[in-house]
Amino acid sequence: MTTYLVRRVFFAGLTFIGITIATFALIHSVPGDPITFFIGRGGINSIPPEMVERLRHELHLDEPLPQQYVRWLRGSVTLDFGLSTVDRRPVREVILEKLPNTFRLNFVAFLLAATIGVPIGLWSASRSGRLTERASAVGFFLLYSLPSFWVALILIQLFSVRMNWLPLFGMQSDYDTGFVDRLEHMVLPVLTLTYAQLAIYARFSKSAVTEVIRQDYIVAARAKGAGTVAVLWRHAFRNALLPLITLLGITIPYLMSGSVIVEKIFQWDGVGLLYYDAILARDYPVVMALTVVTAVLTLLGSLLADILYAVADPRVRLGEGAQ
Amino acid sequence: MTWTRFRRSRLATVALFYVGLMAIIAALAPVLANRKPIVQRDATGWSFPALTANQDVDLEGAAPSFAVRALVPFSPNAIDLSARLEPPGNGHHLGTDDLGRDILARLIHGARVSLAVGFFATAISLIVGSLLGALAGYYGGVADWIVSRVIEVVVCFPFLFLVLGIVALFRPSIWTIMIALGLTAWTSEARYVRGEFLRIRELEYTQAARASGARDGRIIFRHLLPNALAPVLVSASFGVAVAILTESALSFLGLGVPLPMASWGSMLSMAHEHIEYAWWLVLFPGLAIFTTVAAFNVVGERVREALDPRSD
Amino acid sequence: MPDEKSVRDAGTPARTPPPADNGFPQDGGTLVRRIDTDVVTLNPTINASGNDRLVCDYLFTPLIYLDQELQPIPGLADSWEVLEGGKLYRFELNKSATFSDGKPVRASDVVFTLKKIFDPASEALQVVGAFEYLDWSRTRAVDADTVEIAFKQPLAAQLIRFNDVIVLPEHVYSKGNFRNDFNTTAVGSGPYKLARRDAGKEIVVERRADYWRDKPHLQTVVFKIINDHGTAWNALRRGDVDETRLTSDVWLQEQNNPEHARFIDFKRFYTINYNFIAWNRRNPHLADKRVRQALAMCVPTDQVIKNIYHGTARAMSGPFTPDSYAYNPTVPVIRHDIAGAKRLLTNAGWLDSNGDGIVDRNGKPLKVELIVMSGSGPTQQFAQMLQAEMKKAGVQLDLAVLEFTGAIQRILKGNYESAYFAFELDNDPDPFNILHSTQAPPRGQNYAYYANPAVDKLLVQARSEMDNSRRKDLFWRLHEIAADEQPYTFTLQVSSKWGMSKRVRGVETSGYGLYRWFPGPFAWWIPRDQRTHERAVQ
Repeated sequence: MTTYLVRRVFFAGLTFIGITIATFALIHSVPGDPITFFIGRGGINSIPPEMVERLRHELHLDEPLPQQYVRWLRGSVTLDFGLSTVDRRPVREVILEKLPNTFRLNFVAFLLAATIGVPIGLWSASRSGRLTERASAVGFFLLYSLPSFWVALILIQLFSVRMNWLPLFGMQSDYDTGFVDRLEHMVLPVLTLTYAQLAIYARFSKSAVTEVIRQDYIVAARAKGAGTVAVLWRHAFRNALLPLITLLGITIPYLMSGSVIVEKIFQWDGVGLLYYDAILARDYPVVMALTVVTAVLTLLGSLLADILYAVADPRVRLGEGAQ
Repeated sequence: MTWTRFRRSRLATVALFYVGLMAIIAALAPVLANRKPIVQRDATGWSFPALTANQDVDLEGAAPSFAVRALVPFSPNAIDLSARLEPPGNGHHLGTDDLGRDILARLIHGARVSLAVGFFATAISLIVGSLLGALAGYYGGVADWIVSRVIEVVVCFPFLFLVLGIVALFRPSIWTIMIALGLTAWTSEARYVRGEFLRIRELEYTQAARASGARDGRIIFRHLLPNALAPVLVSASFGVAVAILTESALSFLGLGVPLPMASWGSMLSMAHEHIEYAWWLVLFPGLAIFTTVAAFNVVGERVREALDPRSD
Repeated sequence: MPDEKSVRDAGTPARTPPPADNGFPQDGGTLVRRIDTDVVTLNPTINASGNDRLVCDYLFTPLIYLDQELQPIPGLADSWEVLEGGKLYRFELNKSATFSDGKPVRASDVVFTLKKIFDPASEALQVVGAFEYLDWSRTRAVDADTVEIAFKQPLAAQLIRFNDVIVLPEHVYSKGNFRNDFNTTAVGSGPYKLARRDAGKEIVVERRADYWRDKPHLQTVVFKIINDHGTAWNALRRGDVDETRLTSDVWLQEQNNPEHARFIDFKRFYTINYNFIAWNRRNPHLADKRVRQALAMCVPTDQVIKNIYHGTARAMSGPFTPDSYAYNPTVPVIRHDIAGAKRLLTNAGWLDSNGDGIVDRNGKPLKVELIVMSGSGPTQQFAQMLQAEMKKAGVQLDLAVLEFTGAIQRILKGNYESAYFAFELDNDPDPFNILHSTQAPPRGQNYAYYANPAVDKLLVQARSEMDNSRRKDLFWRLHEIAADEQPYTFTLQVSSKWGMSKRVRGVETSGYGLYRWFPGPFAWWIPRDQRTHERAVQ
């Protein structure tokens, strides 16, 4: 067990280094001089050369690339990502301010999707092949294929513009307006984030359970006369939980991608919107920090999933676990 | 065999038919939606204005004595300010946008962008993924170790973050989008191929081929890759769906193909501005994205089932 | 001095008079304004965007204000003298002026602010250009309330530039890193003080109880950040915000909708702004005057005004807006004429020799890339129309839609062929920055890399000419040359369109629009019985 964990953590460390190198290389291969983005934003104006030189030095852009990388890596490890080029605030502060907003939205969406999606998946597995199950499978496929930005536009059109039931955008109407108001603002973004996830969870749990059902011991349990529901819950679902744990790790990057679109449309002040704005404003410190932070979150998610998996399933600890 | 199994699902057959239809629409877009006649005869003889002439420019000349018009007699980029934001009907079956361009014509030409991005991006990820997967699975050892680490790194990045970053920071164009999508989506293909290779390389025929002194390249391309292809094709079908969806998302966010080229996503993006009074701008491009993506997903799912010996 | 054309098209008449029972301004209440992007910085010496300035005007006081006619009136300075023929300005500060922390405003704070404007570490690019001839050796605080600012050379428009000298308290802004530490906080001498700033969401300012001048009426002003114009319009309709800028399409669709008549005032007026295309003269094709003239003839100005802006814009003929005294009415607007453009191109040797629809010369097709800033629907529609028109003349126009920062990087490096700009200008019509040969990037805003010794001479003369009628003659001559040479093609002046909640009273406009002049928004008020944004907790 310990050997497995040590190995797993070691590889995670390697991956972390890889993530930082990839991020750094990507940003530094972008054509153009980052200096001009620091100055002259907002107004189109002259840039005295001495100002360029001073900034270049201040931002360490006059050092060789490997040295810049090490400097940046050292900062990243201590969560010091420098200053945003847009408002000159520490990047860490900006991210920490917006991360909870994104988390709030995604956590609710995740809970909803899991509590609805997984039971539906189990139910489908128990009636595999029947007409209702086939219809629901198709339904999930269609849900999964719906572009979220389109759904969001239609939801806004229906519930905000036509019926005037829900707010159009933002996280709250005014400050200190209370729980109900904040809840109302969450409805449409959460809905937009949930429907596709729900489909994924339903499909995933269905296939995980189906996989287990086919295995010998379930067949045996059934042969011994155990009821379908009992078999499903007692044997199949418990074992299917393992693959579901891995799903947790995979979901994080998926959620982050979805956040960009949903937060942009609903003006939700989270890291997705921050990333979009930072990309367009060429705010490199923010872009790099967010890329690394989300990648590391994913890494931690999958690491956690692997560890849980190992704790739950003794076979993993012994066998080839590092896949 | 697989085909027979595939056809047992009526929905999947319809979806496959729809995908084919979209491909035909994309291929024939210039003759389906064009303000110039497809074939015409005038004083100078027969000609094919839709295919040859500059679509947006009217050339002076005598009226043709005979002409076959396109099904949709509008070009996607032909601006008609007298017909701005017209609702469906009145000659424009799906209405017009804020420059008076025909929505149907733009949808038809937009299919080209969507499908081209879908197929080429998937092709890139197939090539990159298969090669790296084959390298890792066949040679094992250091090659496998390196490829596995690279995959681990790439899957950590949120897909849209990466694509958005690449497309926006480099110059947005249809090529940038294809390459960005292709270079970020190859990991699942690589994993499938690697897994298959690890399995097959120990099988007897591989061993036999190796014993007979065949070169590695020959073994990989002649014996191993064809056998590993099936699961890769499944993931490719889903890959096309994801690519189409992502391209439209990028265009929606304003980072898609350059103007005035029609893309379903950029049509939706423009619709956002007029959502109050022009519902047709929202409805039709969204439907086009949705149905096409759904069709690819259904086909992919059915192929997966048909290849899976354990399912019906 | 509006000419005939502008009188005919002067937007909506001034505000409807408020009902009699609410006739006198009442103090108190909360106003919710909409801004389209977050404020970049609250430090007024480095602020760049219009939104920065809008918020800072509530929090700080400039040395002088501009009134409704955009003429200088007392701001922080009670009075001033122009000495030595425009080379020395002496300002007497208002003795009762205090900052929001209670400390008095001193002449040394003015000198401190000027120093910070000139410190390259401040990156105060917006303001520094207007003070390039400042003479440090003679600029000083004479006593606590008197400051003298000296120049090596007099400039005609120097006085109104003091509207950009927004005085900071030295005892606050001298501590820490000036560029980095004062972007989210503010201590100023304005009528309001910063109550709260929620990045990306809103900014709240509260009226100062200890303000040293006549207090404005509104107690609280909230700036809500709403990027999307459609969303903002909906927010106005629902009463979430009290005012927003409108797009031409919303304007057309909604202004006569009786549903809104009770709640929303639609306002339209021209401000000092224009749109233009810069042709990069370093590109050999575009260095040819005939090509630039031909391209200018492709601009379908009338169609754009009629169909995209629904008549809410007017054509330009040169670098001056029609309301300005510098505008030469004898210069004609270039007529949209594709056949004429073709003829000019043919004269310049551009012919379609291979029948591909694009004219060429020496085997090279005439392709031009136009950089267009993203974010504005009408701008992109304009660009696509221009593209279609140029195609008719055999010119291929490729569009590169770029976000502002991405666009500006390429433009400042000269790495572009042509670019479409929308400029907000200030009250002085001087086109020195965009036309003088020394002002080519990265030094100035002469994006066209235009260089003409005759024009340079006229510009230098006009800049220091203190006599307005002689200055007018110089500008008129410049107008003629710029129209003929087409270093830039000046296309349109688009009017501002606003929707404003009817409960907001006292709204007036100036050449700067709704704000940036005095009293401007400080005269606004909301009747007591119509206050809907009052906060539960203050």
